[in-house]
This record gives sequence, C-alpha cells and structure tokens, in this order.
Amino acid sequence: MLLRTTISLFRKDLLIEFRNRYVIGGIALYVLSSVMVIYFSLNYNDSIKQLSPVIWGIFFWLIILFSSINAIANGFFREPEGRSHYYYYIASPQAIILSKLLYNFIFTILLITLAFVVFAVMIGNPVTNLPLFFATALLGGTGYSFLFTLMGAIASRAGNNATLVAVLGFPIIIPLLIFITKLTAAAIGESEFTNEAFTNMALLGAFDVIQLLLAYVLFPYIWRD
Amino acid sequence: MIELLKKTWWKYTTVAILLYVLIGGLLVPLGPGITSVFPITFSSDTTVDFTLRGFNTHFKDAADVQVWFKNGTDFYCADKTTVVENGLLKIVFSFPKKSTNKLIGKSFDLVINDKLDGTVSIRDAVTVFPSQVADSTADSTQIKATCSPEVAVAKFSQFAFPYREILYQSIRNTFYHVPMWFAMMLILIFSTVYSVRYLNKGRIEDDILASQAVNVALMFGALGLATGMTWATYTWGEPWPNDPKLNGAAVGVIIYMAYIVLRGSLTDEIKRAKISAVYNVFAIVIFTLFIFIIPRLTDSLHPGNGGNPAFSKYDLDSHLRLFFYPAVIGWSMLGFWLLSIGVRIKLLESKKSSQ
Repeated sequence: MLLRTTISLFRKDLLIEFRNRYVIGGIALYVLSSVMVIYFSLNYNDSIKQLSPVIWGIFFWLIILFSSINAIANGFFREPEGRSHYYYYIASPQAIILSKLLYNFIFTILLITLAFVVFAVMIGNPVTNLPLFFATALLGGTGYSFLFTLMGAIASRAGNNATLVAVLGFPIIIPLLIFITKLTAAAIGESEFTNEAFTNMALLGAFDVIQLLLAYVLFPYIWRD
Repeated sequence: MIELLKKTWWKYTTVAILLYVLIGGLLVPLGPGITSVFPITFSSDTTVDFTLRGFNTHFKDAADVQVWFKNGTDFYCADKTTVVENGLLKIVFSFPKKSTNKLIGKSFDLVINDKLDGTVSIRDAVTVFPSQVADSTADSTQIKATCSPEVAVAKFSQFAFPYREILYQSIRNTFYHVPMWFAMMLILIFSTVYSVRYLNKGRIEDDILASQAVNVALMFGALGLATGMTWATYTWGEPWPNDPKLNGAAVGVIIYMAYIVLRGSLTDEIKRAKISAVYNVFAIVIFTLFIFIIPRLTDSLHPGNGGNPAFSKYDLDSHLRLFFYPAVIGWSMLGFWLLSIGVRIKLLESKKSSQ
C-alpha cells in the first residue's frame, strides 16, 4: 500500500514535470549559465589551461550544490496551499516523503549528468577513474537530494523561506562535501585510490541511509499541521 | 525538573565545585620531567657528553641517579653520571665502533630514575647515526652489554600533575576544555529528550526547555571552541589545524545556530515548537555523527581519535582525575543552572503575555 501510493505520487510529480517543463528547463539553464560564468572567468587570462583538476572537482560540486538547493527548494514551494491539504487526506506522510525523496533523487542524478556533460565539453574532463566518479556522484547526489528534501520540507512550513533551506542545509553538507571531494580527487588521479576511498564511500552511503531514516521518521510530525 | 535546579544547594554546590577545580587546577604543580637533551644525535663511534635538563627534578637531593637509554627492551646504561644541580645532569656515553650496526638510525628513549623523582623519561630522545670514520678491525659482533638498571620502586611523592611532552603546563586545560564539551553533549541530549516529549505530548513547556537548552549548549560550544583554540595554539602550533574533530565541532555549532535561525523565522508558537523539535532530533543525530564517529575513522590530532590512544585510559593520571571528574560535574551543573534561569524567564514571559 505504501509502495503503491509512493509510486503513484512519484508518477504524478513526473507527469506535472513533463507537461510544463519549465522546472527542468529552468534548472538546466541554471547549470548552463553557471558553467558559462566559470568558463568565461577562467578564460580571462587563459587560466583554463592551468586549471588544476582538484579545482575542477570543487567547481563541479559547488555548482551541483547550488543547483540542487534551488531545484529542490522550489519544488516544495511550488505546491499550492490547497493541494497540500488534498494530499494530507489521501496519502500517508511516509508515502509523500518517500515520493519526494525519490523524485528529487532522480532529479539530482539528472542534474549531475547534465553538469558533467557540460563541464566535459567546455572546461575539460580530468576524470581518469570513471566508475569511481560515477559511484561518488551517485552517493553524493543521494546525500544532497535527501538532505535538501528534508530541509525543504521544513522550510516550506516556515513560510517558504528559500534562505532557510540554505541555512539549515549548509552546515550538514560541509562534511559531506569533504568526503565527496576526497573521492573526486581519487577519481581524478590526484590522490591514491586506496582502501580509504572505500571507507569514504561507505561513510557516504551510511550518511545517506541515516538521512533517509530520519526523513522517514520525522516528516509525519512536520506534515501534521 | 526545574524545581530541582532552583534549589539553593544546587547553586552553592556548583560554585564550590567550580572554585575547587579552578583553584586546584591552577595551583597544583607539575611533576618532574626531562626538558631537554643535548646533543640529540650521535655517531656510533664516539663518546658523547650529554647534558640533560629536568623540570622540577631533584637530581642532587636524591642520592642515586641512574641514567640509561632504552630501545625496546634493551637498556644501555650511561658510563659516567655527574650531577651538577637539581635540574642539570651530565653523562658520558659511548658505543664501541662497529657495534651499533643494528642500531644505526634508531632512536633511543632516555630514562632517568632516582629515589625522589621516580622514573622520568623522554621517548625517542636521541638518534644514532653511522660513524664518520671508516671501520677498522673491531669485532663487528661485539655489542655493548645491556645493563639492567635497578628501577627504584619509589615514585614522586608530592601531589602533582603529570609532565607530558607537547602539553607541559597546558595540561591544566583538561579541566576547562573537555568538561565543557561533555556538558554541551549532556545538555543537547537533554534538549532532544524534551523535543521528543513535545512531539509526543504537545506541552509547550517542553519546547521552551528544549530551546533554552540549545542556547546554553551553544554557549558551552563557543567556550569549548575558544579553549580548544587556545590550547591548540600552544600545543599544535596554530589555532585551527586541519583536524576532522575541530571541523566536526565547528559544523556542529553551526547546525545549532541554524536551529536558532529556524526558530526565529517562525512566528506561530505551536508551529515553531513542532518544526524546531523535528529539526532538533535531526540535528543531534548528525552532531553525534560528526563529532564522534567521523574523527575516529580518519587521521586526527585529538587524543582518542585517528590512531591516538584513547583519552581516558592513557592520559588521565590519578591526580588529574581528582580534578577532572568534579570539573565535569561542576560545569554540567552550571549549565543546568543557566538552563533553569532561561526557562523560568521564558515561562514568566509567556504567562505575562497570556494575561
């Protein structure tokens, strides 16, 4: 029952998205513009040729960070007030949060893919260990999307304050970013791909699971208003 | 709960404990230790005169000073020991040529023992370098005989704190920095319990308690960071080395500052209570994760994490314990006292506004 509700809510979100694609278009444009800004700033004195791969990774993950905050926060804020009441009666809060988590997860993965393609075309692709990078992207993207989904849910109850999503989410994303950049450095070849990478990945995975559980347990309390 | 904290005996006990900890912690002298060894390297074919300086040592007053170098389980006694004064010792030490093939590049611990000071030592005090002179026909298998020094059973009899390398006098910070973080953790757990209580029962007093607890915890966090940075400047060289536990602690403090911001952005009392209770539960899990679990898994300068021996077993001398446990209790009691004041103010305010 829970699964079926979740899937149907998820499909509803997808359907809304495909009908008027301005959300996905908006985010795609956000990513593209950000990459353009970086590209032009770097091209200023040809420093794009000297772009250290670690800086590449940092740029990449920062863009993903800001784009996903925007995307997810706006996703919550866009729900009209009446519709939330409707959902309250027809679906359990667990189903709602699971469908939102799943939707934002898919969204973030698409975002990362898009950003990676654009980066590769415009700024270069220093990644040598592609499987590791994709694993990092998967785990990191999951972390981002789960965290900002929960924070967006909290902020949507606090008057649709977009700054609040950032204020609540940034402290928690910082250690996540540390692990992600360490793994990206290993994927680029800047540091050794040792067992430490597996530890980092396990930590990221554990963090994602913890966030999932917390969101699952805590969302009903937020929803009850 | 608040009734307990209002009682006068709580306040007097807190003040008494904290005064005891502060005065005792600052006045108790530091035990004996070796401050310097000169020179710190020597060639294997030379006879070297070492100059050893001690802190709070009594070389002259004690009758029998034994000095030896230790490498693993091998002991090498000094050839000749001359006591100059209570804090200065000169020894003569030599290795025969070619006898130290096995020991070249290795470091020795220096150990001094006498009846008044007990045993004082420095780890890895000196290192052996290969000899400059070409080897002659000396027997290569001859190794300087190891000696078995008689380690006096006596220990330093005065009440003193242990003399630890790197820390020296700043070991006294153990009564400020560590108990503050303990108190902070305790108060945060308290806050989470009351947040969960609020989510279950809906009494607004629980929410007031939870939010004031976070305020007090933030104060302790700021103090803990300040004492930690002071300590780090003198022991690790800079106020903020790139250490996972420090970064985790900073992130934890920011997480709770975000809690305050969240509360500030909500105006409806019930909604504010509910949302902040949810965030509080989320925050304590993440906080525990960042402060305790992640530093243990990575390299860290902090004792107890990242391969260093745990803080409580090796570093907590019995003399330190006499002040450390009361310090934890004292700072926690102070925290709860501040919490009770905050809660009572808020309760009075809400009563006044509802009249």
